[in-house]
Amino acid sequence: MSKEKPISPHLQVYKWQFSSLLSITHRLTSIFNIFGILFFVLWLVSIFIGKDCYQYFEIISKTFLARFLFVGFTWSFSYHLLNGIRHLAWDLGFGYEMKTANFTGVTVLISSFILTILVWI
Amino acid sequence: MKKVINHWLLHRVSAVVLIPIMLWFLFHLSKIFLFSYADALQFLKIKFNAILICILVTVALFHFRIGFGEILEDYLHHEKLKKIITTIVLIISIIIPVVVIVLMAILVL
Repeated sequence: MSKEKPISPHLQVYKWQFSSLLSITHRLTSIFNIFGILFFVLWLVSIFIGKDCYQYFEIISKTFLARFLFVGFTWSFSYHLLNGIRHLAWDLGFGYEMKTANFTGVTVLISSFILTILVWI
Repeated sequence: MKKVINHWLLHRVSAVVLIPIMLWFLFHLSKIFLFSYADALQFLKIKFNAILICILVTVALFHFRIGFGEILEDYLHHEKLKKIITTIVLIISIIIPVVVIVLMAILVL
């Protein structure tokens, strides 16, 4: 394989646009989400090990940083979920118009915050 | 080419499966991590919850394996490294669901 193979989404040369920003956020949240799932699996394992182990979890969960992360995971899950639906609509052939794509993009972004708030109130 | 189409389709199918399960998970998230030990056990011993958790972890990791593979295809151009990371992700995406399913089965049964 040639070494000059172009690096496909040319992040460095593209002008930053709302649509590309949403797309990159979709990928970033996917990685953040998997850490959320792994954290959840750790939680499961700590319960399985026993009360003593779970106590450490309880101590950590009460810190501000942990609470901040939980809300962060909620937003990340919400965003990826909603933007994923947007992607599925594209796959079915809907929403390609520039105006529509921008509108659904804004809707996804706002809704992800609303969903996060709904989960935590 | 057929393999690519299968990946594409499986990625979408797993996404559709995850929509309702993630909504269920999201609305439990605010409680889950703040549960007392007794509450957590009680929550996990409900069969419906246990099954959803098993499906969630399995399908989420499967979905991630395909999606992350796409990201690697786009940004990582070191073939050897790509192979190593792909293999690690594959192993994780098998081991973790197996562990979770076994743990849940022991807890529920």
